[in-house]
Amino acid sequence: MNRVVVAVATLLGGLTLAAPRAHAFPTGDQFDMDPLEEDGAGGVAFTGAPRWAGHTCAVCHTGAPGRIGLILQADPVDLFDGGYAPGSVYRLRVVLTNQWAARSAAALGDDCGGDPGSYQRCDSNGYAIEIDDRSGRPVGQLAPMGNGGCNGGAAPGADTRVLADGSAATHSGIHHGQTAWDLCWTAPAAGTGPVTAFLAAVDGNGGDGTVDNPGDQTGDDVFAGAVPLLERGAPPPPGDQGGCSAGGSAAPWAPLALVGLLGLRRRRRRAGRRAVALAVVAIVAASATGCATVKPYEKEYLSKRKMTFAPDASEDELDLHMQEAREGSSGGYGSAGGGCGCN
Amino acid sequence: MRGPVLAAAAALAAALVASPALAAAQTAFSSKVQIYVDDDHTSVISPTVSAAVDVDPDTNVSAGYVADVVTSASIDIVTQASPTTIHDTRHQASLGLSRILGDWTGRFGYVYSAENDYGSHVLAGGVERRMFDKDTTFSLGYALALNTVGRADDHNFARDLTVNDVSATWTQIVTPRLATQLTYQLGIASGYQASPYRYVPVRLSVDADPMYWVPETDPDSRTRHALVIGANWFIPSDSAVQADYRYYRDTWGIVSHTIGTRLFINLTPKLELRLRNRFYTQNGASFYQASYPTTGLYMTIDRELSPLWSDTLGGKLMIALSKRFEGELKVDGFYYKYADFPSLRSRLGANLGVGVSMTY
Repeated sequence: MNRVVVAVATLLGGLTLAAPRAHAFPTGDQFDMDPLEEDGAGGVAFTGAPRWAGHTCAVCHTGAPGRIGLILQADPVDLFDGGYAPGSVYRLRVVLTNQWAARSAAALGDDCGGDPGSYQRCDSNGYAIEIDDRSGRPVGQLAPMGNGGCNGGAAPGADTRVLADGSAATHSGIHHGQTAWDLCWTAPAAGTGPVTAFLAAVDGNGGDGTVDNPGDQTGDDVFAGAVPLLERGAPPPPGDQGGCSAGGSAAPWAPLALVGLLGLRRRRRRAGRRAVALAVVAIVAASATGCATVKPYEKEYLSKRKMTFAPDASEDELDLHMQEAREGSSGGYGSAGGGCGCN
Repeated sequence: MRGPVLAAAAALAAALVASPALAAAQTAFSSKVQIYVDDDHTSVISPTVSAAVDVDPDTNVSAGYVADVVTSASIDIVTQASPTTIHDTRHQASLGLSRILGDWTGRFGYVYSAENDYGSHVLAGGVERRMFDKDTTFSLGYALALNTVGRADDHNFARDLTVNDVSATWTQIVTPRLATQLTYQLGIASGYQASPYRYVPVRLSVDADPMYWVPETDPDSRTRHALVIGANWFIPSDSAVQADYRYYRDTWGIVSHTIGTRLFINLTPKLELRLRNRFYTQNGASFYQASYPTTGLYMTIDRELSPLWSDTLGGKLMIALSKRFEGELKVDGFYYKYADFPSLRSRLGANLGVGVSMTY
């Protein structure tokens, strides 16, 4: 197998989410199970793809230090430099690098666990991948590896399984100490255009090291990244950045410009119009830097409730109703409901 | 019995467009109770329930109910012709529908509100367009509020108040940790906007005895402009800072400034604290006077049209009780200072809230 390293992950996780508690998925089968009844993922694998608002495994595996990485390998290798050939079958390997959580248990493989008296922590790792077109729709066909490589059905004990709806692949069963997973991908039909492989992985620490808690999501490490893949022979895609130059981050002064608005209030009356003008200028300036597109898999923080502009609409409505009945102003913040409420 | 100051006109259009969802709609239920008390002898208990359901992956419907149970003997009440303590209840029901069509989202809403002397119907609609990898969202909204102002124990008194609201919002993701929003809202109100209960004393000075009283009269039309700029900034330790500024002016001569800041602190994976402060200041309406030595075309003793400033400071704890349930506890304290309203110099009060929500 001619392998080429194409995507050494450098994105840092470092997420400490306040998301509701959830259990880890030591078995890939759990991704298709019911979330409430079976503690599953409901057919969803958070790969960081746009259709999941950029969510990754970090939604539940909180506090990840971001020390691990991922490598995506392919055979034939020209998948990465020449693009995918429509309808062709590619053998892919996802490699978890820099594993550290429960590393001391890696050599045990599936011989970990055991009775309470002799219990040994397991090195439980996992991954997910999906490949989407520009509209965010999964394309091509993912499949586990067979005995004959990517020809034929899945081999017994294959370490990858495909979700029931075919949209993504994850690790299969429980294979402790595993840091590489093989799978097959049949490229989509001609005309699909550029696609993106979204990958996410968890370096599990095996719970708290006791038989009572063999697999929570605390203390694990997480990585997510994306690899763009062109269609071979297709013309370069038209830009979709709305005239902006993609790449790079916004200027660091952008948030400062906005925060700086807080000081404007102290300028009385005559400063009112100037404040509005400056506010508009500031937001336009800050937003203009947004021309450096924030990729879907970079929107982990933005998708949190605390980052929305109306995180609690019902509370806002009650507060606005009270404020608008006690002040001469209204508007701009949303609905205050109906009626008077003027006492 | 309640003094129908203008405030009633619902600006649902802005609500429909002001929060382009970075997260998808979801099935959820919440129930809350908020208690308002102030040192002007007014208390309001507001129970609320709301529910939202994903009918299909692209369609979400919602419904809600709010009640305001009011007990008041405020200065507004005791300066009326028949001073007394009033008890009143406002009921409000709302319905909402949103549907995603590719990069577009359409929204529709209806709110009905009824109380002893005030009825209100609000119809609203809006569209939202996501662009550039969903980094940019533009929204437009419109709301029509049809209000009927009554007077308790007077079935012959009924006045109309119609409010049209148009709003436009631009939401921009600037960096993976920063989002900004700019909202403009235009409100045009026409109809009866005074209080049928308030009578304005005509007197030579603030301290003089009234020579006579005349009904409060406000202009029948009012055009409002509100411009809000906001930013949400994700900071380390899974925390966030939100800040906004509103500039407001209207054709009654009121200019106001509002600054809001909120800090979300992730105390533990299950416990989040929100601290907030809101500062507000306004001048008086052009026709407002602390005392009227003679009659004029427009006359009011509405303290909300007088020069004032206020500050609200509060905290809220949000507790993840389980994977699906969340509880919250809120305490806000507020202070209003009236610079030119002789009957009341200040108002101090609190908003207390408790609630639970369930999300699927």
